[in-house]
Amino acid sequence: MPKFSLSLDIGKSRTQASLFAQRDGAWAVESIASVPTAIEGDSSRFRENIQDLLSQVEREGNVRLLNDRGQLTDLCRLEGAPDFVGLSLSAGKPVRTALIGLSEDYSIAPLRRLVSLFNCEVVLEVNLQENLNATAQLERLLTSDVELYVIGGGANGGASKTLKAAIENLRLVYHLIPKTIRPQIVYCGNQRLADYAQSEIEAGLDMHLASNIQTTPGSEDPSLVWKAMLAAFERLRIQQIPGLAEVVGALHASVIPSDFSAARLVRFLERSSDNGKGVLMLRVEPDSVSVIAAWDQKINGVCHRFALNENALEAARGFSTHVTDPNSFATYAHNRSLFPFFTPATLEDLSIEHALTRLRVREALNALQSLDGDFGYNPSLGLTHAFEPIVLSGSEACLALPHQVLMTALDGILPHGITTVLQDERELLTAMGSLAPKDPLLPVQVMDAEAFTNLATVVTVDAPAAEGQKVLQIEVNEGQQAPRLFHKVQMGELKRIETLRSGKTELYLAPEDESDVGMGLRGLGGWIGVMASKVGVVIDARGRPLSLPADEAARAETLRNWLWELGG
Amino acid sequence: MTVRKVIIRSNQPVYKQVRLPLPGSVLVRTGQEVNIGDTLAEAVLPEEFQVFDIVNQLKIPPDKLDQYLKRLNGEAVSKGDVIAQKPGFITRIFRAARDGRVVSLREGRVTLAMGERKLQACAPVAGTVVEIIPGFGAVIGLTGTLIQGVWSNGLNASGSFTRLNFDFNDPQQRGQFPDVEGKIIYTDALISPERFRMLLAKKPAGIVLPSLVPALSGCH
Repeated sequence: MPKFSLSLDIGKSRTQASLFAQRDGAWAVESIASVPTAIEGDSSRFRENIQDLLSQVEREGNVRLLNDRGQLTDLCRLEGAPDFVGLSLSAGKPVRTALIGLSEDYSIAPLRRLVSLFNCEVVLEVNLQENLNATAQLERLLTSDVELYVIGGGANGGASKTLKAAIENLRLVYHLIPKTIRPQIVYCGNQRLADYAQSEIEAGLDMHLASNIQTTPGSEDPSLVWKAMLAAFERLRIQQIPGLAEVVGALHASVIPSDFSAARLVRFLERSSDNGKGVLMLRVEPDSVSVIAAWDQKINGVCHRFALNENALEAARGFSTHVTDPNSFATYAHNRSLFPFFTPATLEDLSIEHALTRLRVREALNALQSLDGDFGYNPSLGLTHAFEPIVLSGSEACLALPHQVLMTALDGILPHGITTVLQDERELLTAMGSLAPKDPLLPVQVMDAEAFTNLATVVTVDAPAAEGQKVLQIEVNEGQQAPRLFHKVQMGELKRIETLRSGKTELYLAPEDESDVGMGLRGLGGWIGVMASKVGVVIDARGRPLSLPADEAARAETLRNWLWELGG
Repeated sequence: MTVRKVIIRSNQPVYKQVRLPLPGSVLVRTGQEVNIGDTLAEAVLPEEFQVFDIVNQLKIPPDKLDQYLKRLNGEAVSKGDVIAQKPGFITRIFRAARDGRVVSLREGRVTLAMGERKLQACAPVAGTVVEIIPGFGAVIGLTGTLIQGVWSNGLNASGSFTRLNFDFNDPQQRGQFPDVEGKIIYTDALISPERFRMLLAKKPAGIVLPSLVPALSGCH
């Protein structure tokens, strides 16, 4: 009898169940099922929705998840049930969050980075150094309709007067204003005040204490606060989603944010990699783009929601592979913002869709750059920091063809150097992240075997050459039997080289003196081995920033030619 | 792309849930007939708060606070009441700016909650209360025509539902715009921002359109 584990990811549009089975000591995906997410309405609707999903999983795998009447029950009492269950959630409105800290650099900025992995929307920031008088501070706290308060700031044992005043105000806010949803409070500041904050605010289980996020002046460790943030997130979501408490109780699982779940795996990939590069994940959903990046032993993420306005429409039109009149473009974009989950019907719609995705990816990366200045992204120069692999996930990435997914990602990210682009087609990253703490072997074995699709290896050529000038020569070795192939790459060109369907293809990169292909020095080349991938090896010599014609028709044609080069 | 899904049903039971964003008192009972604008539930909140740091503002030693405080936590105060007083060559006084209550007295800081702000949930339609949502509001039931749209500005309006018989493209109809004041009008014409502004000037209670042109996104 195999050992099972189940992951449920309650997404914005779909709820996915991923069942993993361990046979002969090796974990593998057993079955995947999904249903439309239903979190609105009463608790019975949510429960029935989860029951439908679990019954699908039961039918496909040899596992028990429901009782004899097909209803949700305590999993511990079921014979043949999974040993453990992970539950992640990205559905629901972002958590309205207030950040209270002693200074911008040492408290507020680290708190922003902390909450960004927990599906939070920062609606209020109270910087206690701004000397806001106590009445004005209280007024701001009262009127912001906050669901989660995160208090940080101060070195352990340091000055405490202003922080004490803020804690007192928070006590008033918590007790004086009745709330349908009880707000949660996370305290991660000066540890000398932790007990004071707990006894003063008297918020019971709604108060979550953590170690100081600021470990030493100028350095932060958000992981010290994750446990408290997870507890606060779970308590909020259980209050907000009728029926969730029952599901959590029956499955003996904890609810964690989907982005946090994915971040666990991204962090693991970065730590287990020996190439010295970071790891980047982009989850493109119809109404948001999540970016999670791990580099230099730290992890940051952001979930960016696209705001449609005149400037965004104008910028997105610049990425369209079809010439579309502004009114039609805007009509499609507005309709899409009302119904994020519809599918484009015509080629023109598809080009608008891809243009919007390019812009959404850029905006999301820029949002992460604002959150952490070390990320290395510039909207025109692209991502200058080295990330490998880049993992593309989310329902949007799964709907398009491989070369289209790659093209929109490339134009959004504008990577530098050499990188591998993977696709999380079955959306297993989040599923494995929620199960990783229960059995760390599971993600390791599943990722080794089958989790991701290799989309492409991208080599970006950075050269100060004029368009049309040769910047790189490539020699392709497909084995002893096949003749060596040679390719010349010119500035402004996007070139695709097909890889062997199985096994390794070897390429010798011979850049011109001034060309940088990510080998460490300009002019330095060498052999690289690439595994089989859906699109192949993509040589991007288009330059940074991308040089696009000003004329609309010519620009659309250029973009179309690039897309055509990658696969039509 | 256009959305083709519009659901229209006549003589349908229509249920409208009306609830406060935070707990309060429900003022109606099941079976009660309500009219548009009737209050179904209300919550009373302080209108404003005032925080006063007695120790620092009046220069009072924290251990002698009790001597100078004239009010206790939870006590009601009237406008002008002395909350704290430090006698001396120049007497320093902290008075209540409005009627209210002392809600906190800690660490030498006194907090007053002043005034009253009522948050009300009012009936957007006339009907019968069919269900009470304890502490929050009620569900109103009525029989009517249900038109399910794809987007709205979230406001409520009432008035007779009237089709607008006006051809915007016909120059001969200029100056003959029908009286639509107080009515909810429906038109199948394409409404540009100029036409939209012209409609608004005629003060209809509501406008129902088959589609919105993107340029209208800036109109409120």
